[in-house]
Amino acid sequence: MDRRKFLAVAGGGAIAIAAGYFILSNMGGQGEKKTIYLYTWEEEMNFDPPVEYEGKSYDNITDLFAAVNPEYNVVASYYGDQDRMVADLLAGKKADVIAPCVDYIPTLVENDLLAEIDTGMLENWNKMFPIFQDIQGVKVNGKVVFIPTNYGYEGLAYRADIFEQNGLESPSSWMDFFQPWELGFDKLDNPRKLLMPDDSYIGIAMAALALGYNLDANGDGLWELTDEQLENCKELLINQKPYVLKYSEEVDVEMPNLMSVGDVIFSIGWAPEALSLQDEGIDAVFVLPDEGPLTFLCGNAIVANAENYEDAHKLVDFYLGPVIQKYFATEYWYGITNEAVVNLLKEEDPELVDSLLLDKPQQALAKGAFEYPLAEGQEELWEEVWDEVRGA
Amino acid sequence: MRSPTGESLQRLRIFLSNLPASAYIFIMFYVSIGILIAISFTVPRKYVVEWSFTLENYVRIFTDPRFLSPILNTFLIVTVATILLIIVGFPIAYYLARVNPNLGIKLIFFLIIPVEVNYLIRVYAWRNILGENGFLNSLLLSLGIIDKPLSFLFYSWFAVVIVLIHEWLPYVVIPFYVNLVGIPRQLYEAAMDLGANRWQIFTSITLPLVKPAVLTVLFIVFIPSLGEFAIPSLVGGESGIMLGVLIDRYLSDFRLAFGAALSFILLLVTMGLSILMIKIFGYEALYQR
Repeated sequence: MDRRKFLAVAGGGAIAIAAGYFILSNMGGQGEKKTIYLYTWEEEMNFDPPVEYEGKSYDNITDLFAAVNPEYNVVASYYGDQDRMVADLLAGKKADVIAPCVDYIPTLVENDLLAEIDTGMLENWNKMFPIFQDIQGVKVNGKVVFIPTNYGYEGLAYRADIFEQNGLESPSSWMDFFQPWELGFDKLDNPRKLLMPDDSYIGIAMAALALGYNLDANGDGLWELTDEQLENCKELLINQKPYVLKYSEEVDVEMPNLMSVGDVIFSIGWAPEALSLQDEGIDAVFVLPDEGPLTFLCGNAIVANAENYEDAHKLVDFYLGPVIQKYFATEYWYGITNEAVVNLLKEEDPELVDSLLLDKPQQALAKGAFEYPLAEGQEELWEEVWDEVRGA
Repeated sequence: MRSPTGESLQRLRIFLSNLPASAYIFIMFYVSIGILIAISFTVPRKYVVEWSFTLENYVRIFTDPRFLSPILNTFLIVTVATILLIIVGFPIAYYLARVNPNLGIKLIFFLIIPVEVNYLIRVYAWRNILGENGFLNSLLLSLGIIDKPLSFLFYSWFAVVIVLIHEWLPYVVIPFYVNLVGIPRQLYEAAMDLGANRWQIFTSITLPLVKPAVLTVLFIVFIPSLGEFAIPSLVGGESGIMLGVLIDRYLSDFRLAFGAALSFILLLVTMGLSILMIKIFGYEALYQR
């Protein structure tokens, strides 16, 4: 083939590919499916274990939502922490629906990132427990901007077998986590066996609970600590440092990994992670601390200027509907906000409903310290204290 | 002889042919570095950049003793790793340069293969080797060499040094190898004919002639390692914190101005060291084989 022929063939091929791409992408655009852009947590995008729906297994939200709503197509992407989510939205990331937790609602509102949700478009809105329709963060200036779908506890997880082998006392409180020497950690050849979150908000809150402080002492739904309280938290956190193997930015990922090999034996923890370790034959135990666990409340919101504002409601409603709500309760042991689904579960699995207090959300929330946003000016102070702890 | 017009045209042609690449480098490297430097002088705010000038970030770094430890740690870890890399890498390169050239090239190929494996997988593998219940401790325990696991192997600055050595070894061996195979054998033969012993040959011929390789190693290993953050994050624990980890922490937390200030300080340090090395070894060392 001479040069001229080669160029003709290459040029023709390139034009054919470009034309094919154009036709195919146009066909997609003219199809009947409507697209919704979801930006969420990995575990709310990819399901482990898969969700069972009408005899089929679905391991991601895209396929599941399309199975239930064939006229829609979900394009999903995920974040590992909410700071990333806020920063990406500010940078212009395309998203219709996000999955924030209540502590980030003020930040999202402050940056004009949330749209008002039309609850009339949500079939499941009226099926929610009334407490969750009015809880802190749901409404801003009377407008609904956040739909809570699940809540759960952050407590402690430990390797019961290793504790027993080494004659360590079983932990029961946050203070045990901050004073592991009281449990006998100094007897260990290597006492650096704790995993801490590298997160000023959670780290300091844990210390505050250990010290018996009421994080919402003003009762205004905002966390606030005095300078003296922060100083005491700092001291407690610094004293704990010789026992900490690592401060992790991804504790939910690193805890199961490090705990399974025994490099970490005591950590902040969640029930789903402890359960999945138990499934693998690892004797990990999840404990709700005596001082009360930290309680998170997460859900969905629609992004301001969402391109698919009306369709986005369909996806928000889906998270509030029976398929996902049931999955959250039975597989993740989360509390759920849809009362109708709880009533269904009462018939199917009354033991689960009782043990998780699913039908008594007020009691369930009262068990722990609700993860409220920080009061104005507190974030800088907490970050300063955290920097000092990390640098000590 | 070319006419002045012909020369000008030639220069213009060279300039134009280099323009796209130069523009790319300028925009991608220098403009982005310029933006980073500008951000480092802005008022610290989360998520966003507030374009008001301040020296606050730098004042904090230079007056707060908490930042001294990661900075010193960074230099200690990288210096120890580089010295060990040279101690380990040079004899390997020396051997490879002395064996049959075909065999030498094949052995280099085997040295490079691990580098082809994903970086994170390799670092994660070290977690399983160095962990308290990892391969190394289990082996030493089963052989009766130790009676309890060695805790300093994992989540320590020691672990960072070990993984850095593994990571960078091929990049140390190859420059030394290239340098060593370029030394004419006649030089050694002449030295031996004149009665020099092995040590004298090594110190008078080999060492001075591998000087360019040392500079190359410092440039491609020591300086980039100063900014390392993945290895210390994954295996370093509290004693192995390096400046790169701190920068990553602030940037991941979207405290951009402070993270940018730390990055700029690291950039200034590496630039200073580069200039110092060039002063010591000379520019020409970079281009010598």
